[in-house]
Amino acid sequence: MSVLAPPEQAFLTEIRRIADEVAAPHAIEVDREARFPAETVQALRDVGALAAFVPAELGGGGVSFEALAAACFELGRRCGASAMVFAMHQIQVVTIVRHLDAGSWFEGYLRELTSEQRLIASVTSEVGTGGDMGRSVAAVTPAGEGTVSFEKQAPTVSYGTFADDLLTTLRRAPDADGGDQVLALTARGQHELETTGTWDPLGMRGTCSPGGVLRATLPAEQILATPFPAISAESMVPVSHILWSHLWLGIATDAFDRARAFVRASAKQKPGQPLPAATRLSHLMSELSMLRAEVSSGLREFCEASDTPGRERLSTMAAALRFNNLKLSASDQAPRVCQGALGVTGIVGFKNDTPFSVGRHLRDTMSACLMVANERIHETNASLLLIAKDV
Amino acid sequence: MPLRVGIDLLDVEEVEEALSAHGERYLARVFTPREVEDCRADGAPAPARLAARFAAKEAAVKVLRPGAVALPWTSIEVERAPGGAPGLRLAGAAAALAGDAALGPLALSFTHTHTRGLAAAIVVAETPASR
Amino acid sequence: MPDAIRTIIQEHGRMPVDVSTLPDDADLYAAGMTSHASVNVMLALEDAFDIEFPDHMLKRSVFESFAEIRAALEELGAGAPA
Repeated sequence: MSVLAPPEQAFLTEIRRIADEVAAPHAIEVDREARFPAETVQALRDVGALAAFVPAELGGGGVSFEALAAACFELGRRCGASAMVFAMHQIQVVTIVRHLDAGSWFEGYLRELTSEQRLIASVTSEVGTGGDMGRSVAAVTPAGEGTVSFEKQAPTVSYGTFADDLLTTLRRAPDADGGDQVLALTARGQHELETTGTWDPLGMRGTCSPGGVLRATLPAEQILATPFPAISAESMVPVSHILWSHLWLGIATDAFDRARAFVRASAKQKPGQPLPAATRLSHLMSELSMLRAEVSSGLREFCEASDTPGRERLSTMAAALRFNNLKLSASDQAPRVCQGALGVTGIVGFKNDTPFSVGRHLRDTMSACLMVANERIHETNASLLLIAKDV
Repeated sequence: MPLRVGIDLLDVEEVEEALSAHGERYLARVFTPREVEDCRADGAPAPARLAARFAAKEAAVKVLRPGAVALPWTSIEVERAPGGAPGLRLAGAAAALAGDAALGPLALSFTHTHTRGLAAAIVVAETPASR
Repeated sequence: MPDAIRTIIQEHGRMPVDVSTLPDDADLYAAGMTSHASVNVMLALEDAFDIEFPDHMLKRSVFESFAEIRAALEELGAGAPA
């Protein structure tokens, strides 16, 4: 990972400690029982990590985006669900920070988020939109005296019932076009999330993401001024893809590490004997290093593009293609590495209760191609490839 | 007449063809970067939304009545006021035409269908005769 | 050149009538060319003749008839189509 400043090194040291001492011991149970990783989230709160990206001027940790990505990687190595909750929360924080208007309500909100270590969940998907995040059915509706209300049916809300606040995409007004979207933040007490399904999936079981009906009434100032399409292109999409890729890389890296530990243990037991697993491990390392290279270059390109005036480069079709490809590649490669680890470890990796178990790793990374369906992203890329001048 | 009004209707298919045939060149000649960004759905510009904005520009042209004056498409921009209704921002030749005719602010409404492939817009402006 | 222009209008102008029936000075808008179609025609002409219409030539009248288009292309120094 890239070179970080000393305060960020301290931040990452804390994250690694939480990953090793809190997330890791609970990971198996969080997965088996499909329960929220409450201990890890509390530990993150205790060190102020939920406000790590909030600027120092507002009381937050002021760490760089690179440090956040590294944190997702570290947590991913120990518990995929914990890492995903952390990543999803940070995506919302980063989005708000990157589109913060001076003097807006959101400045005060970020201070509160910091002092109270509030957890934000995202409500972007919606029943009836076919998975198109760029279109909403539910609309912001005037409710009198400077307040607005809405009701939205979401097929999935990650850790929705455990979040303090929700950031929701909506149509700007009852007569607005489906693509004319805004982002609204509601706090506990302003919204009611009625869970409508169950959460018993193959992987990422601890993210507790059943669907629900969300009803809320809120002051109109709690709507981000920048229209959502711009927020989506400049922040939400690339940031999501980068943080997710880092945690998937973390999971895959731990799977590789277990495979390597297995090979070394085997070598100790049978010193001097040929070890086919060692050769398989070498193949696996090639696969892992490709994933690592793609994830690392995606982060670097995003940080460079974010530095261009007005973040112009992030609005180009070439950028959209690049950060879509990051998600497509990483979501494909991470489970492949985990499956390769299974191939190296054999039966001991296949069993769930050994030091070399990689079943959870495989199942968690298999969620990657579904959270935003890859086929949908390929279709978008297909359109972009036809239209774009440079790719 | 106290008002000038302009209306336009077009097939979204025309925009799809222009995107396929000319890609970003078409976008750059007709739309501003902000308009293109506002029309992005899942990253790629949505033809229906672009078509609605084109209809808005053409409706505005009918209100501005350029005659022999050259009017680049990008001198009329569809914008969104923060949390507010869509509006039109006029620059260059478009702004000059509106100023010369002493028109009031241009009011805009636009729409597009989801299945029938049509986009439409209407623009209205007060003239000096209304005051 | 006149044939190339007619071909481009036929292919990109989305005219409801056969272009070969229109005289050189016929009003193309009256014959059914929409304003968006005129954009497509402009881009196709630029492609075919390797030219670019500058801002001051973005007037309705420039694309009003085959004759007008030919005059504009000559002004822009367009040679044979690329």
